[in-house]
Amino acid sequence: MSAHVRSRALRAAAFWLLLLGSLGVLVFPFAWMVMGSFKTQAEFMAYPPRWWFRPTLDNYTNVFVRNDFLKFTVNSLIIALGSTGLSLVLGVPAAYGIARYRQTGLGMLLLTARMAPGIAFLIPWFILFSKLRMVDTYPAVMLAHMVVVLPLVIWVLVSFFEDVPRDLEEAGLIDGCTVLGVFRRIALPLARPGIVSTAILGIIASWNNFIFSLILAGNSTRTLPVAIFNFVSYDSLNWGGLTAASSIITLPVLAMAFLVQKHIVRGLTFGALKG
Amino acid sequence: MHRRLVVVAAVLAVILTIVSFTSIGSTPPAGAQGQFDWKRYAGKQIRFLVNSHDWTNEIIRPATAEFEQLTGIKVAWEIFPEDQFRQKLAVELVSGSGSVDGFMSLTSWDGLRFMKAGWYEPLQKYLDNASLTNPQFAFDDFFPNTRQIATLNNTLIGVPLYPEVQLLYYRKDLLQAKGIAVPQTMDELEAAAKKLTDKANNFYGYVTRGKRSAAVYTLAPYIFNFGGQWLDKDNQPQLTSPAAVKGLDLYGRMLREYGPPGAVNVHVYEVYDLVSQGRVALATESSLGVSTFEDPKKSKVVGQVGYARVPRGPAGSHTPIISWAISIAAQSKNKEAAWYFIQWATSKEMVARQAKLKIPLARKSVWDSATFQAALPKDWLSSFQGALADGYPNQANPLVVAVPETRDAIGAAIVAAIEGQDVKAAAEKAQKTVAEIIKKTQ
Amino acid sequence: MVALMAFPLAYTAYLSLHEWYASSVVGPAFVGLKNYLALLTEDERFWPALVRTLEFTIGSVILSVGFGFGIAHLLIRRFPGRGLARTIFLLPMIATPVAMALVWMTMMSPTIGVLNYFLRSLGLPASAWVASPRTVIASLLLVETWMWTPMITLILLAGLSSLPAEPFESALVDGASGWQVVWHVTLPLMRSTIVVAALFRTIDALKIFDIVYVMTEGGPGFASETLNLYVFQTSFKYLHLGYASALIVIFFSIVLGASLLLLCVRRSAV
Repeated sequence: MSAHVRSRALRAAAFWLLLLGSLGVLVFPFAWMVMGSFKTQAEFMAYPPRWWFRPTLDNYTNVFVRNDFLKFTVNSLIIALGSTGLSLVLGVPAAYGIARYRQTGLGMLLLTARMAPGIAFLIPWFILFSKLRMVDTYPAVMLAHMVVVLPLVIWVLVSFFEDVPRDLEEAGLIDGCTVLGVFRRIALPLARPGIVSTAILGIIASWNNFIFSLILAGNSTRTLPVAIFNFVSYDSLNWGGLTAASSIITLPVLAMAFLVQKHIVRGLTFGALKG
Repeated sequence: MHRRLVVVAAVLAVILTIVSFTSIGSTPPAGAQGQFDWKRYAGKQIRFLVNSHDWTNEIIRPATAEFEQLTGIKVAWEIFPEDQFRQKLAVELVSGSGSVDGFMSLTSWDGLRFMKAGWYEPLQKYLDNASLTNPQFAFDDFFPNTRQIATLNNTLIGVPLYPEVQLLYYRKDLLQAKGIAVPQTMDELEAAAKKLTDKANNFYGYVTRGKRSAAVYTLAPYIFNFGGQWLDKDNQPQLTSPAAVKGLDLYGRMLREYGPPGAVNVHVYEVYDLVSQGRVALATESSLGVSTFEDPKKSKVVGQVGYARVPRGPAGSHTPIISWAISIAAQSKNKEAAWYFIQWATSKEMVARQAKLKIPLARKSVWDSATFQAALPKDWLSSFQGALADGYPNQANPLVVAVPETRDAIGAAIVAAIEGQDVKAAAEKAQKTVAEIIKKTQ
Repeated sequence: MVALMAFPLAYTAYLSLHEWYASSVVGPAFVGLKNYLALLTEDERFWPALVRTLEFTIGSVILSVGFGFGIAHLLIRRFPGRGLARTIFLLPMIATPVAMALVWMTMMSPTIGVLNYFLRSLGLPASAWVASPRTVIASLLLVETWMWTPMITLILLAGLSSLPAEPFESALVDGASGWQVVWHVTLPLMRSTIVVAALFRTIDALKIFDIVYVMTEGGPGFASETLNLYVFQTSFKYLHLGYASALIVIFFSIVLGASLLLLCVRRSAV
């Protein structure tokens, strides 16, 4: 009996060690950055590294007061939600179709877009969008971002839809549902963790995208990653500003991820077939 | 008698009518015949794409409202750090859409390529046109060497903004403590660096750039001071000349033995950081460093940095002189309005504002002004003037069309030298690559 | 949408058959396959860049999928603070890549970096990290893996969550140990998801750019120049657009090839 308890305790200890260890490694650089955002330039470059120091809020005031950070945040938000939303609307049904009807060809086509380096798109798009007078507009940047997000949405969801057991769907069809009904009532809920995950990934990908936003956005649609570079100038790197801005930028996405992560739960399949 | 009077009056009336018709757009106030019309292009919209720098951020951007009030021209002023600026500018210029009216240009880097691609608008005709140029502008107020920097193939393509030479930075206190005189020759530089290096305590005698392409700029004086040049008169590279090999060898040795670890990744930012955080004793870098070293918010060594000319070699002390300039895009549909912006931004009044921020400038009148002379350390001012007189305009790298490729090839040799590899072989490889590049692109 | 994606690719393919140094004065000149020939036979930087890129990709995929799989198993359990853990593990991916790469650069600074501080405190020799041709690729791989493991973890976690419970229940009833469950139940069931995760990681790793550009720009010398970076330098820095287009076409074919390979693996799984 005690051996059993001991092995349980050991396994629990192992679990916590691994968990905290991996989270620690993943989080440390970020924590280092946030810590740095409260340091002055001189303290940031100090060696040995300073763990205890007098924090300053100058960097944060600098970020908000001297730069249009609110505007950039709003821009990033609009573009991220827009491009991800559109990608989901187009992508979820497409993924279902590809999974069910084995339309790998279409899927491949969309995937190839993601394979080309972003550079390939820049000059042709710039020429196209400037002729259409769409440079520095939301739709143009959103479309560009969709090239990154849509293939991701489709392909992750294809694998999820494929993992949805066919029996459930067939049961639904036998019970009198239409194909669309099967999609809405059976496949969609089961693939919910996948949809949520891809939404998060899509938003993050769009939020962080740099090169498309750099070239296609102007002063009024500039997004956060491009704005980060406000702190890099000809001969100096404003570490305080850079780290403060970067910390601020991660907050909205972090909040979104937190709210949404509880949907990534164990599926709803148990019991459904047995009955 | 009456008839003659009538004829004269009629002729006068005709003349006046013709004159008033030909002065399109300008309504000269009474009696102010020579007054420059700033509002001539009111209502136009122009867009400038520029590099992030104190000049663009601290001086011009806040002042664009003044310009708009003066001229009625609306200005969109987009600022990006250098790399991103170049990428965006390249895409826009290649697409030929006329989306950019003016831009900043580093003539030693972009110059020949932009000229060949037809992207610059020559400026001489605007300067010569009295109706387009404010008589107060006084282009010859700019130092001759700086005007030459913005003139390529005898065509003026920009107005210089903040010229740079290279200087030797040294820690006055540390040199004094060890009884070392300010190095005047390259040998003295090496000896001083050796004495000041204390690796056990993470302190290094000397630093300069080591990063591939960037380091070419700071290698230049090493080559020039031994009598070398980048190119001969037939535009062939001279990287395997004895002077070049000697310079490259010394450069590599200086960084390897007396420089900080990771020297091969050092760019201008790191040089400034290392000096201002008190980790190195000596450095050769761009003269712009002064604004960092004397800024109490960024520097721990305010007041302790001395400024001297780069130590001389057998052929004297010569550094490259470079300057960012502001130019008009040939594709622009609003060239005159863009020219208005340029002449306003580089006018005596605007340049005077650079003095307060310790930003080096190209106008002699402002340079000699009391404000500027008081703002900067005396030894910086005299060293700068000396280097400016003996310097080689635009010679930061071989002045060819394909500058970035050339710099990458030479940079690879620099990295090899720092890493202690065979310098002669590295120089030969760079020589071969650069010769090929020139052949394919010139 | 498809047109928007296809037209630039078509234009790139067209341009690859021309020689063009970006200019408004001289237009593209048709040279047939000359660019491709030069690329494959004369270019000194192409093959090393390709090899490096493949090294990176294989390393990155193995490490991210390996760690991702493990971490997903940790996060699927119920434990206090799970919600928090499931959010903060995403941090490396959420933070702006460029900013994080810059922060890593300071952490890896040979003189004042905190990583060397840790090494020295533990009595280990300090590393040159990205400042030496010998350690630069491993260092960049570390940062890349750190940054993208959360993405793999997320996909695998969602996959793990949607698995039906019966196979696990029956395995436990049959007395299978933890490892046996993973090997015989989890892996087969998740094959499709794992392959898709690996697919995306492969495509993205082959295209690795941000981290390398910010931290080393391909240096020291050219020791960390990856294919995408070389393409970037050729198009944006050298403005050698015709040649760059040929590079893009070849690069694209490589990515396509790798993806097809993975998809065949996946096809055999379904």
